[in-house]
Amino acid sequence: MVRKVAKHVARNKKKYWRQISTKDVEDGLEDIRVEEMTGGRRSEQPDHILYHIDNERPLGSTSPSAEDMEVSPVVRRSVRKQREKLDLNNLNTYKILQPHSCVPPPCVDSREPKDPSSKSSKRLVETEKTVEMRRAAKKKYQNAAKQRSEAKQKTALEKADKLELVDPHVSQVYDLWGTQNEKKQQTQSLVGPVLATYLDQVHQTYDWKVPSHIVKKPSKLPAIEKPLPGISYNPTYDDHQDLLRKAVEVELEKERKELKLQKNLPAKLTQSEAEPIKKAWLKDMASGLFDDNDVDNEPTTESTSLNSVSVGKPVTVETKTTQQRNKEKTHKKKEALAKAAKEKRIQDNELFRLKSIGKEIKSAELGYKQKGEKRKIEYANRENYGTKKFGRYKFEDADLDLNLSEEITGNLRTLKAEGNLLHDRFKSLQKRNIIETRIRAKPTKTKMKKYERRSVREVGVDYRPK
Amino acid sequence: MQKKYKKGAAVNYISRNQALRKLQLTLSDFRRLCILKGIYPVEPKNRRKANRGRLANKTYYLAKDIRFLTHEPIIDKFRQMKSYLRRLTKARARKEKTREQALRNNRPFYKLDHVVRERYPSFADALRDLDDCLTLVFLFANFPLLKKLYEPRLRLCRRLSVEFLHYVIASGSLKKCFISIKGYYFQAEIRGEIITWIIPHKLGHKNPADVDFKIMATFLEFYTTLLGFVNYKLYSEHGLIYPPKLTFTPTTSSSTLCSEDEFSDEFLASLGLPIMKKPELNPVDRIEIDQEAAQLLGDTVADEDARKKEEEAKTLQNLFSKCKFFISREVPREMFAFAIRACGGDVSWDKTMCAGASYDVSDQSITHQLIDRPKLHDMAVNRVYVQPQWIFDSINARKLLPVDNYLPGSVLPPHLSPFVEEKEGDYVPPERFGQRKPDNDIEEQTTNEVPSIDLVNSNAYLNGSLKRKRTENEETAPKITTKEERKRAMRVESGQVQ
Repeated sequence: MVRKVAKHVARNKKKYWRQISTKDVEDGLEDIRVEEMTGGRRSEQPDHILYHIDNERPLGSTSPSAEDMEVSPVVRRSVRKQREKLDLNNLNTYKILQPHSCVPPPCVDSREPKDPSSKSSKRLVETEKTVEMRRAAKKKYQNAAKQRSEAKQKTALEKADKLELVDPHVSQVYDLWGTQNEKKQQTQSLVGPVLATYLDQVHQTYDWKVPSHIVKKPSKLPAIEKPLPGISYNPTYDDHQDLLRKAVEVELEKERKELKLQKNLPAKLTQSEAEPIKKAWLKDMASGLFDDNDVDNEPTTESTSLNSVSVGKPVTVETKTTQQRNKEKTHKKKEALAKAAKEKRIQDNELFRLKSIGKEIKSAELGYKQKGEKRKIEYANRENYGTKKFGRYKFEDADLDLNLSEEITGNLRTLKAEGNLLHDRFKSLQKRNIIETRIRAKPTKTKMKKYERRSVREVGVDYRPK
Repeated sequence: MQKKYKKGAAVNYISRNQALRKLQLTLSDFRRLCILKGIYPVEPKNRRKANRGRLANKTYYLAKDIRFLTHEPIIDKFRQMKSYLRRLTKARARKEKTREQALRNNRPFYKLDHVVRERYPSFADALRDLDDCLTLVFLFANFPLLKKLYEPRLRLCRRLSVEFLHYVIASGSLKKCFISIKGYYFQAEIRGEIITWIIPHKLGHKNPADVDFKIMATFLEFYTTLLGFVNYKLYSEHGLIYPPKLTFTPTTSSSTLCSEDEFSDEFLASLGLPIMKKPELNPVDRIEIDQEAAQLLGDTVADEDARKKEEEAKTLQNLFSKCKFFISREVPREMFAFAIRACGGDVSWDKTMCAGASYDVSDQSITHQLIDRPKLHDMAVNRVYVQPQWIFDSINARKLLPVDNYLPGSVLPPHLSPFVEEKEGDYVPPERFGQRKPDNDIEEQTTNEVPSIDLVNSNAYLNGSLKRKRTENEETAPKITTKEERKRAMRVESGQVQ
């Protein structure tokens, strides 16, 4: 049996004490209160107050006599027509409010003037009056002063604001690189030193430490590159040819890259493989179009139909004889010996060749050093002048703006302008690593995902229940 | 025991998505922030280490950069913008017009002053980056007003470009110019920094499909701020009043359609009239100071070179000072007006073309007139009629070339690029003989250029000849040897001679 433990009740909580009723105590106290208010504690009163011993009519005496029970004659009461006048000094309503309990108050209210006509009380009242008057006057004065200062601040702030705020969209210019104190002096002269410090606090800008690399530019390329002489509106023949050549180079470069890619593809994916497929497709598609012309201009290639499967020589297993094995063994040993001897010979020779070996090493090291320096220069160039790649897309140079030979007129009036400066600036910003390369987002169509229900998957789409 | 991927590349590089999560930004906001702050992606040396053992094509940023970005107050403005847009769409959908108006009046905006200050701690840094900035600003200044672009910003671009051109005119810092099929190349030297920019042709173009317009708009936002500050600094250093005002106020009597501000803006934009300078207390000649300084320090070669450079600059600044030009209607007015004014000339154009024409065709004191037509009727006697290429070629040659080759209707000599420097042994086309100065200038050219540019020229990356490793002997077109044949061939090419 598990011993029952008494449930632990918390006896210091209000919850515990609330459930205990104090009715009896309170009833007793109520009785005592009532007793005190109506003539003191009964236990303390003497007998003659509590009890009245009626000696007039002792027990057993007669009931009230007949003459006592006589009906008195009708008393003429003076009926007043009017109400009694209200005696303002003796109002009942105020009498009720007077304390009627016999319990004396525990203490005396010292603030109440005991004697309203006494000198001290008169003096008190007087002082109070003066104090109040002074207080009122002081308050009035303070309020006025406060209003005045507030109004002043407001106008000062407005004025100081007006210094800056002319038209927020047109920048108010001042000497930015000159002394900053000019502006401060201006405000101070308008507003006063105290308010100027206050404005300083209100418009405080904290000078956070600017990281020093912010001043460095991300690329040493000039913002506006030197114009090629060929893009003049009236260029010399040579300059223009140079420009055309550069453009041609770019195109050739692109083509070369394409070819390089094609070269490295496996044979099935090259263009030469794709051509007969393309031709066949074209032929199919154009089959009904040109009926009057002869379609079969190309000679049909004869297809070699191989009906038979290619057969090779029958495989025979050849085992090695012991003689062959021995021969191979000796041959191997001889070779190993010869190889060792050769190596030894080479080593010996190399000893004599030390100087030249040293030279070789030195020249190789020189080569490495030069390569290293070249790499360093390359790296520096890439860091300073190269376009870095942030993000997914690589930077592509803008096309060279040029006029073809036919379009060059030597005339300013008939000039054909090329290139968009906005586009040019945008590309230049990307080239100089100021913004990242981004591509215009195409509106993507969300593709519907195709699901097949499991029941369909098990049975097939064309299933029809019987 | 050391755990893997707790330090090194795995910790120093942070991928784009990780950065987005850390900064709690959307992708477009993040890209905008990176462009504004100048945070660029990096390519880690070992992609496997950076990605904790996996290989994937991710965009990486330096973790330090991203941590630096977290302190940027502009991020807060992005979030405010997002909630503003949300409230605006709600008000619009509920058709609460007053609320919508109230919201629009309190649109959140951000300023980029502190970003410019961070990215360019000194003025020279800002000047070095001015190439890209100018090209983009000039490009957008020529754009038509599209709904995609924020219209006040386009107007701002126009204003800033005009201001910059006025500065170049006033300081006379134009050094080289070149007309190409892409646009007009200009090169100026400002405070020792060489700045090149392109102004597009004023012809219609369609927007290319693969350009991300939002990115370019963000770049434009940053660059307009930068250019504003640079303009202010340049103007204040040169002693000009910024924003620029013309030396005399134009009368508005002729136009009732536009306001006076717009009218003076138009005059300013026409680049025809000089702008006001701040009154200088002690006007001292600059060259005199330099000469005194040179005498004190003692003559050295560097000083001589500097003096020569100064002289050349001065000749270029006063190249057209004795000429008065008139630009015909068929010539693109802005570029030539700028080039002429930058070299000290006076220029005007037809009244119907643009505001700000100071004198008419019939003015007797005009010395040169730029025309592009093959034939012209009633030609005045005391002026020279030239084709516009003469201006640019003269500027590149630093002297007034003989006009005979540039007469209207004649075949123009080819327009050579001034950006090509020739070393001594190089082949020089005969057309350049007329333009080149005697031999001592070649040395000047090569010494003046920054030495790193030689590396650049021989650099495979920049020559575009990166891919081919084969020698050059393989493909050389047969060159026509004699000069006459070459000239004739060129003329055949250009279709002038059959």
